[in-house]
Amino acid sequence: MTRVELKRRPSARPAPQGVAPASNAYAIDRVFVVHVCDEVLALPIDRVQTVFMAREIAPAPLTPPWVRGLVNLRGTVVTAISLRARLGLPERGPQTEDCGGELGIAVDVDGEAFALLVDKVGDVAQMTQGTALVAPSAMSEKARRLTARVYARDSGLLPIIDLRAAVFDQASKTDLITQD
Amino acid sequence: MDELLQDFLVESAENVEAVAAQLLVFESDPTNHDAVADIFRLLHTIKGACGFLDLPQLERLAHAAETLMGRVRDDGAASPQTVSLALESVDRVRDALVAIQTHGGETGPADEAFIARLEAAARTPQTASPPASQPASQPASQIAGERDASATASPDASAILSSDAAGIRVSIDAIERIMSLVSELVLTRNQLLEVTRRQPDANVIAPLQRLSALTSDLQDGVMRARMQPVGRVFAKLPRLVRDLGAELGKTIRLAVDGADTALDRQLLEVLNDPLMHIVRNCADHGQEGAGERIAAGKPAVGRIQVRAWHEAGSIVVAVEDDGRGLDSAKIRATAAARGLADAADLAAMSDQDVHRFIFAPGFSTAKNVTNISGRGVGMDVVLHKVTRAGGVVDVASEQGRGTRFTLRLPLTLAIAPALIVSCANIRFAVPQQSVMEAVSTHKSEGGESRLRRSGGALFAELRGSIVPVVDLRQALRLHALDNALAFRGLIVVIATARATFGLLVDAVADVQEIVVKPVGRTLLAVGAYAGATILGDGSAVLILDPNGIGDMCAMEGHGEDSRAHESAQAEATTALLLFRTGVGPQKAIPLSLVSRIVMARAQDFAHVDGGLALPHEGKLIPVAALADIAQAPAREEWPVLISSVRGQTVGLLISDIVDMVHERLDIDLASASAATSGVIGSCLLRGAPTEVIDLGVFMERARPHALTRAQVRRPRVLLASAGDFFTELMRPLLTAAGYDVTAAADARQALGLVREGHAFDAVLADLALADLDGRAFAAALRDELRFAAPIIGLSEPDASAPTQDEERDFDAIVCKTDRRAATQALAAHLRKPARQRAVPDAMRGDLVA
Repeated sequence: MTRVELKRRPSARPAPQGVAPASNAYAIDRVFVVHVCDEVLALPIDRVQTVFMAREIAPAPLTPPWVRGLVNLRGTVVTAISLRARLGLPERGPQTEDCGGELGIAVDVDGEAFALLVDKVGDVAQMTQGTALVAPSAMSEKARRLTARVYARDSGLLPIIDLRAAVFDQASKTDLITQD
Repeated sequence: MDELLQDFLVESAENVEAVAAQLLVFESDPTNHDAVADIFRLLHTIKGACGFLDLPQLERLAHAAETLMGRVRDDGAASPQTVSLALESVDRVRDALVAIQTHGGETGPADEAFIARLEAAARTPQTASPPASQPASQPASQIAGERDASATASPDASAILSSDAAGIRVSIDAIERIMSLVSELVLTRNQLLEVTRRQPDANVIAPLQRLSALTSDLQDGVMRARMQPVGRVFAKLPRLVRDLGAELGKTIRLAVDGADTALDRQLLEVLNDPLMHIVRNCADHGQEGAGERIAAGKPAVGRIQVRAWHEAGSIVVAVEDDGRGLDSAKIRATAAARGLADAADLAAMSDQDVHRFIFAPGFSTAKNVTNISGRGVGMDVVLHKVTRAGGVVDVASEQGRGTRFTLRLPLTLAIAPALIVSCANIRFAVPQQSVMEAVSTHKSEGGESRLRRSGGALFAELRGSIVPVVDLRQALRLHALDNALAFRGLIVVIATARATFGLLVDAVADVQEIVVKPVGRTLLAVGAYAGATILGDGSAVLILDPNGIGDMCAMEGHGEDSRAHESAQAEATTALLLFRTGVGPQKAIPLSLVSRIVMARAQDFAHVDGGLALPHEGKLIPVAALADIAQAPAREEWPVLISSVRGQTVGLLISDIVDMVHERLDIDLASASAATSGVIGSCLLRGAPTEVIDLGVFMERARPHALTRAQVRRPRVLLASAGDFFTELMRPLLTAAGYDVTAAADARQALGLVREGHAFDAVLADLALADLDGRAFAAALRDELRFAAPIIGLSEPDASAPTQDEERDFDAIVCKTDRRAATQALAAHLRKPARQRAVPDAMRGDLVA
């Protein structure tokens, strides 16, 4: 499994008014769109290793509430993170259990294997690099904390998940756009 | 790589390895011909091979070094600078070999400056070095003897060598690949077994059993192939200790034992760093300088002993030094200053628990940060590395006597049997290595429960002894607790190096061989998990960390429903053990003073030296009898409360245990005769009149001076002896009697120690010292050095009665063969304020805080 770091933003310092510099406006960011509840979010495509059905999740007591437990992904034990819980959304009811488990997106963060549990996966979207904004204050506090940056699309805003913030509850240092 | 070159590298690495022992001999004795010749030969061989392998830089280095060794050989002596140069040149040769191995050839030019130094030294005639200038020097025979036990592989050179010199060389990668395939095979086999268990198929069973057996054999075989002697890691130690000794200006002797004990090579790697850290710590913090050692009555040469042995499916590596030991007071102070625990808790903690703070990240009590240690990095790395590998680290220390670190590691990381337990419908794996047994919560079918709840804590009775129990449901907060406490399920008895405790679970589901897989830091941070694994049915389960669970239970005091409630209560109440014994009302003793309760049969007790004693954990401990066994001859078992104060263990024989309670302890009636009756006072506990026992009195009765001895500061005695048989005998006797003995070989040394400012509480002096007669010695002490403490003279057995002059000069004169008289005289004179001198605090009585 190859591991690619989030691409560094070109500017060494946060852009004024939250607008990223337009120096490389022609480069393309490919992102992987996921659905959690009614929210639409995306992950940097190069961080997504695989998408799988997490059938049996063994609970991990005493861990933070968003850690759903452990799951066997082809012989590797991965930690399942509930994006719903991370976003402060209610967990899905038990009726989803019989559709073969939950959708997990395997990612590698700092050498540890995680599965982000989502409701639905969408397409790969192509965004023009450099058009990203910082998370607007209108977003919920929890969502903002997980968001590395936001792209504006015709259909609305598309937040890009900061993986390190999502799994460790600490903001990623690789992304230079600060959140305030 | 060129085959010829590869052969050369392997061969040279072996030669460097072989010469390592000779290097140390050479260092301590530069005139040793064999050592010089061996080193010369090594360099010569390497130089020769370099010629036709086209390694000109290494050739130059080897040549210069060889020339230097030739000079040493011819002169029959070497200066300390030359010794260092020679050692360094071998190091550089080794580094060059490793670099050639890595890069497939020479990478850069040789270090001209170094070669120039070698050449310059080779031109200088060598003279013998003065022994004092070499801190690490010691007799060659000694080193050679000590080193026999250890393999002398240099770590870097061994990286070139493959596992087994006698067999074929297999790359580590190949072995690793086979191992991981075998691990997966084991898992698949387990899955198959699981399937056939559910749907038995007669056609499959027989071949499956065969497959199963073969898989086990294969697993065993591969594991053995991976085993390597621990000596590969130990081999680094002699050099490390030598360098540390030189750097710190200390003389340290290293003894290595059990170097051929084999363990998995993966664990060898795990062991490496912790072992280096520990030895570094022992050398830097543990060992005192020679002066301090002599003053403390120890041999000037410090000793670090490293041993390894197999024990019950694990490998144990113990590192022991005879240095100053851990300073509990200082650790307490540092822990409090760093906010690791509050002062009240620290005061209540046993020294053993306090010592574990040294494993906290960044913990250091060292005043001076040295190059070697003291920055507070190290011991936490040790703990982290070892526990991650499923091992245990323990430290035992006695102040002034030394410290002993014990690392216990499983033989292999790859596959281990585990007990699969379930609790609240969640399964967990418990490494079988730490499981002693699993027992039902009931003594028999429908019988009495083993479990007792007392003051919010859970205990189980297990063959007469009481073990604390951790309810897994509660510890992991698996459910809101049902207060009725269903005493059902199983108690898995777990023994770690630190504690034995029961783990209350719902059921034991299975025993499976598991492949330990690491978990992320979020899960590690919980402290209860050692890893995760995948079971035969494909589900992931967490592996419980017995140490972590044990710590959690200790920290949370077995957990009340509400921790806030508990802590509020804890301030006001004391955990008390209520018991009945002898006549009068029930008795109480603070539970914190009782380390264990054992049930002993009447015939277990021994009558020794006019007192009662009981074998306990391999030692005979004195027992204070509060109950009379003879009065109830028919009774089979008697409870004995075991209490330890700083390593002094005593037992308290009682009639019956009533209960364990958490109560507010207010003494209503203080005892008028507390010092002799053994009762601090009386009060009402749960409505019943209760006498609170003063353990100190009984401890003193069972083991006189136990508490005095357990004091941090023992009276220091200077023993100035003529080195004869009787005075030599005096030393262990005084030590056993609780004195801190410093020996001086003659009057000059003794006076020197006093002059240097070493404080002594008393001096025992032979009347016939080699260089000064007793009276002159006493006069020198009193008049020149203003020494005020008692001076006791030791006379010859056949000497005439002491003269009046002698009686005036000495506080007492006793015959040196009468050892009892000597200790009695010491005790008597230390107790009375002799010659305007205050009694040391340590001798004052009030001991039970």
